[in-house]
Amino acid sequence: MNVQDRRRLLGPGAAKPMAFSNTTTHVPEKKSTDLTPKGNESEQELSLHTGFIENCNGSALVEARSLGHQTSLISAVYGPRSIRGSFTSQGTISIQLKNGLLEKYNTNELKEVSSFLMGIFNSVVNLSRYPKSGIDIFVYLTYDKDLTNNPQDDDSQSKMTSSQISSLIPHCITSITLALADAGIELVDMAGAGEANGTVVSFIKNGEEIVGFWKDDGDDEDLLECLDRCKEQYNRYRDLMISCLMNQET
Amino acid sequence: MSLSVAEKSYLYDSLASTPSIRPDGRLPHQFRPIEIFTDFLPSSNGSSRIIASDGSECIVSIKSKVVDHHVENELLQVDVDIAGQRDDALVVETITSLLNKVLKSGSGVDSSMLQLTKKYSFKIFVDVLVISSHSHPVSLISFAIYSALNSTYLPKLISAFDDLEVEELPTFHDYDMVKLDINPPLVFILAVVGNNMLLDPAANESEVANNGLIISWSNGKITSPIRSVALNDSNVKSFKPHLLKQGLAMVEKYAPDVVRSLENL
Repeated sequence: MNVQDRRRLLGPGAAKPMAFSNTTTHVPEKKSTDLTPKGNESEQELSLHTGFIENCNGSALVEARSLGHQTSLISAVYGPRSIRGSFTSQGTISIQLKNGLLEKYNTNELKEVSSFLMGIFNSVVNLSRYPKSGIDIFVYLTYDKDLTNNPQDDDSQSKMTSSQISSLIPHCITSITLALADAGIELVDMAGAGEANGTVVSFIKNGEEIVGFWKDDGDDEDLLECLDRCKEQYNRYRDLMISCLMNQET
Repeated sequence: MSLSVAEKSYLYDSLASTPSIRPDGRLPHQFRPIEIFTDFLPSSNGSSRIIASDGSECIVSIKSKVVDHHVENELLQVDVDIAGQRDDALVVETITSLLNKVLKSGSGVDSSMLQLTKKYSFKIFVDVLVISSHSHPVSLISFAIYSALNSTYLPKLISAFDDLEVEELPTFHDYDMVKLDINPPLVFILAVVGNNMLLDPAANESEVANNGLIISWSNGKITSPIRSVALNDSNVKSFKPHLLKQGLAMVEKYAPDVVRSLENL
């Protein structure tokens, strides 16, 4: 290393940079699949993988497959890395959502979701542990498709799209949480979410506290029912996330 | 606005106490005074200008176009421009997407009121320009859109309603205009501070808020979209589920008063 760093106190001239023993043992990709269908609509298989992208700090793949619908998305976490400019006492999070091959959602809507997700993870990540650093999260919607190819008229299709983006949010939250945990970033709790009737509720602390609420369809009459159903799904997803991470440890 | 750590802590404690003490002495459900002027742009079908007491200002212009409603599904389109922000900035795109969902035909606005003939409808373009804003501008924008749409006059149709058989374009009266009557939804923003909910948070209140809620109100009841929104980057926390119900109840109680005062313009 010949580059002289003038901003820091350097060690003695003969000092050598620290070298660690080779710790890049290949982390086996673990998979856990939910096989406990509950009712018709929540009959959803979920498979989770972590740590498969090498050049980022943490990554996660979530694949969900229900009767008529298949979704798969990848999250990659870069950071905490130092930011330029003036000192900040807390870390900052940025989240970007990208369409995959199917250019299905418009950028307005994706940005709205990413700002919603930023709100959630600002309260979930212990940001005060990361002063003067930024955590960048990229979510790539690889695949999101209806398996039943019914010819539909335009009206029902536009309605489907709006309800689908809300069905996507819980998976985004699951994958970001897993990727953050994979990157070793300190979280207050494992955040998860559930979706019911176009309502997404994201919980922490065993469903006692809400970190995010998103409702696209209907009015507030079925709110309590939706809250309960979302909490059920949250519990399922959280157990899966924990078992996935525990499997990885062993 | 940036507050020191001590100022934030003082403000947070006073807002989170019971009863909450707001820096400007408002009650939890009380709005800041707003001024609204309508119908001041001669070249658009309807317009409004809203000024909040903290100097936030927003102009809305309504323009219309005759379209074939079998081709165009969305008959209301919102475009937001915030001074000092790029068009592809996160806040601009988020607000645009939210307002388009608020005014989406079907749930928010009755699109049959825009229908001219069996084939043609008016398409309404809502252009929003936020000249200055200190707190989250979405509530202010929605009030401006509401008053602009309520002051919108569209040309009066004089040709026949049934034009499926005959190939003719709608013809309009030279002078007479008809008032647009679509009853647009309103959007309210609430701040969650501790165990308190505060309507219409000011900039300094937003900075210490634990979380925020965006609630839409249409035709006398709460409607979607409903969102939680982070009002700042540094102080966001989770909140108890009962606060969500408390916020909805607060909007349900006070929204009719807001609607009444906006209608009395």
